[in-house]
Amino acid sequence: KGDDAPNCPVGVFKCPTKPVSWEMCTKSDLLDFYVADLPTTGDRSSVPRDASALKVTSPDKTRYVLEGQAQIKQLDLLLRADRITYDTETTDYSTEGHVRFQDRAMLMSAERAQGNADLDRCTLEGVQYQLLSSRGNGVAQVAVMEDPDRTHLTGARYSTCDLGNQQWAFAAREMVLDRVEGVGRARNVTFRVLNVPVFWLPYLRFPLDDRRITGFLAPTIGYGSRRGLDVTLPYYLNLAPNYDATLLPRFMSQRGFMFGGEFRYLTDSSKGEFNFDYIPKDDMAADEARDYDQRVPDSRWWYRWRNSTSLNANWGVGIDVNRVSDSRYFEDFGRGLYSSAISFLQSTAYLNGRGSWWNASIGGDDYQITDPTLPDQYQPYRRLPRATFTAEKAFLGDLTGGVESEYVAFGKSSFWSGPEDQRIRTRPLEGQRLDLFPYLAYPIETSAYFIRPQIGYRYTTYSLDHLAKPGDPQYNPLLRDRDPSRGTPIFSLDTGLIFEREFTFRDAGWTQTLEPRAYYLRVPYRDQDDLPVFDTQEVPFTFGQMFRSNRFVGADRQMDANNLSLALTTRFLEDATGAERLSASIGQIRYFDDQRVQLPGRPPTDWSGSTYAAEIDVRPSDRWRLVLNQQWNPNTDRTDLSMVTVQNRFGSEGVVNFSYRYRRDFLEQVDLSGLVPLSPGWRLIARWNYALNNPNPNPADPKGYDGRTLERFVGVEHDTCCVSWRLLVRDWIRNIEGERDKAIYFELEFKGVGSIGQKTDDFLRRGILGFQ
Amino acid sequence: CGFHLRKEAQLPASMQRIHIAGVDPNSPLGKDLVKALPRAGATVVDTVEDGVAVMKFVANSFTTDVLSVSGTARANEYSLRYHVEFQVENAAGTALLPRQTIELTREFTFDASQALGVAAETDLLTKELQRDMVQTVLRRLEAVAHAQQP
Repeated sequence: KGDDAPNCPVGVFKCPTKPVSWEMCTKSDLLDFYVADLPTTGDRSSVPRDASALKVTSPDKTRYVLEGQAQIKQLDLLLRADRITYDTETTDYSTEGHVRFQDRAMLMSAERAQGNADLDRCTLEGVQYQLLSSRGNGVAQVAVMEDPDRTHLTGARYSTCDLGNQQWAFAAREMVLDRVEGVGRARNVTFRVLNVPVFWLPYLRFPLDDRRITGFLAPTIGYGSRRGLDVTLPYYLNLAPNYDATLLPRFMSQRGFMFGGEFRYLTDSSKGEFNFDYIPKDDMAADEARDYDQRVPDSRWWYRWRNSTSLNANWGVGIDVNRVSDSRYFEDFGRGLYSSAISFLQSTAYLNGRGSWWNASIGGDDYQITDPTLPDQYQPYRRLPRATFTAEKAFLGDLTGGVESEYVAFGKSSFWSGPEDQRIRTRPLEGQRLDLFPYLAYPIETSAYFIRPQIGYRYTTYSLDHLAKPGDPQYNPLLRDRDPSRGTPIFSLDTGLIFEREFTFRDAGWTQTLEPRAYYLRVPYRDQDDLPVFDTQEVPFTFGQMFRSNRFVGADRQMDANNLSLALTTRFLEDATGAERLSASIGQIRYFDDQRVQLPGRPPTDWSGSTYAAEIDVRPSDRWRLVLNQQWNPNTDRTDLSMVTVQNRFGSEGVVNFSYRYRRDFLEQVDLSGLVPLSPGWRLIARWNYALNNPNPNPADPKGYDGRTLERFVGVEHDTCCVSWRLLVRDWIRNIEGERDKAIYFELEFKGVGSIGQKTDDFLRRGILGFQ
Repeated sequence: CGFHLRKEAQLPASMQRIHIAGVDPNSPLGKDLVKALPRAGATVVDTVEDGVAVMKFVANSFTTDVLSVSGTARANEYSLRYHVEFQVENAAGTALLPRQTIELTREFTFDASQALGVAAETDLLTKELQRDMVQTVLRRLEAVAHAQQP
């Protein structure tokens, strides 16, 4: 892959993490005497030792003096010097002048060296060393090669910087480099930056290669308007090959000391992660409770546990539990726009089964409100328990029979409702629902066309509790029956053709496809006003919805239909690479009957055609992508949706994104973000996300409909050989009252010290599409 | 204007017998691939041997993220992303098709006062993405295989 190829395909969100780069380092001088073709494995003691020189003298019977290109060589060990003196009786040797040592693990230059060949022991003085498995290097007064895997250094320094420019180093009285474990151990350590002592540690372990080891990770230092000085110093615990932990102590000068952590595990059958944050006493909680007239506890916390366990080939358990101490928690401790924006935290636990023709699950979901302005009654129903079963099997050739089914018990805690002075405790409607959809299908598919007829019957039945009585605030005269049900046949015919043509453009072969698709749906009308609405919603129109048998999600409503959806897709494929350079689609639903089934409070419509949906995705090269998304509603003569996204990738990591999003009466915003490499060591990162207006202002928000910046940040990243840092200034909208949060962050990494490198904050990945 | 019905796809001989690795055969992707690959002229086999191509999935994951935030700091839109990476190798491990990254997304709106259907919507979009992914993987395989033919 050339220097210029983008590291991450255009348009992709999940880009690989940028590895620690040593590109800014210069070559170690010691590498000049590196001999490349020595073995790197094998048992040294089983191989004979060679000594050679231009001139050999023997002043007495047992002593030899080697001069001129003198060297001792044994498997991977090579010791060279101007002069080597060797005693054949004791096997002691000593060397002088330009001493150069090499073995499988390191290179050393020294003033003097002496050793004993039988004991395979060598002591060097006045040493400069360079590890061969990593960037690690330094100096030492004395280095003792105790055995091929261990070097004992005295009066030593260790760094990953260039030997000639040590921006930082550990200085230690005693240091052991252990290549078996891949760690260095040092006692009485002073950490020096630009040769100035910064801190002292009695003991330190540091990594010698890519293996993960226990130790500190790069710290984040910040200043936030609502937290004060904000310092996080992660400590990574490499507990075992299959589980580890990271401790995240965080100090906020205005709020206090917070303790967080992450524990990850992986076994033959399970994998999972537990994350938490806990602040025993938040010093600002009382102020906040006063400001917002809300209960804010002193002790605040958040945790999340995700686990997936496979029990056998067919069955597994999935768990995701998410809880927080109070609804303002994310606003105060979240790391920005996205984490504070979540209105409900979902917790789920399911036992899932699947076989070659069936799927099943049993479990439940629960929600916690994390939007401080939402009253309890907006809490979604918990689905506990919920069971699903789907099956599909072909018999008699292509004739396929199947069933989709779901059973749910909907529950909700009672809540206060009514005007301020006469609030009453309300027991919400609860109930159980069984939804069944058996069907027969006869799909015929070839590479040129498909025909998929399907006929089924949807039956949904309820058993309701706590039906409100006349006079209750929740009373709905339509909900009378405790056990309502609905049954309706559903017929659909989905057909499509795929045409192709070949053509030449700019001397290259191309293929264009033309893919018309027609979907006919027939569902007779059933009055559903006596059915409750537990989990059902009418979702905004999308291209995909033209081919669904229901415009509602959730089983409480089944649309009536006598519709024909027509759509046309075309694609342009480059023959040389197979890359899809352009795809464009347009479509509309034609209605032959009125749309009578609606959610409560919505009048039926008598449209003859739905919104037109059009999508264009262009990738003229591997560096550019343009996506256009447009919806126009002929019934209101207005544009319902308009979106433009452009991405350009340049160099190996540069990226610029622009997007405009408009949904009528819902949102209109622009977003500009990018990562621009300025020079090999400098990168600029920035984002500006601006809402052009606010169609649904909160009454508590003084600026109402005004446009506003949702988030902006600008930062620089500097990368040198052994140090990299990032400085970032951020400003984002924090809460529903329209208040803002500002923070400045500084992240510093001494490369090769942190055990697993930087844990990049999610917000950069989310803020800049394609960030690495 | 030159259009004709698409001809039966012809994968190169080295890819006509395919083994699927890295995906649970009972998962939606695994099941649908087994059904769909024969339409591209490939036979799905259970064991790897000489002459069998291995379609190896190295990434296969769903993520849900906040896509946009309102002027009142509430999530307005979410995106559900299906990220898949695969490569095709011969039985000896030599690449027949370099690593392909496919990311499909569905965006959905979120209104806290009408949030009842989010879970149901996510389930539905997940199913649609799984179906689309199989089609996209197949198209990619056919297009690249087509491009590699002399």
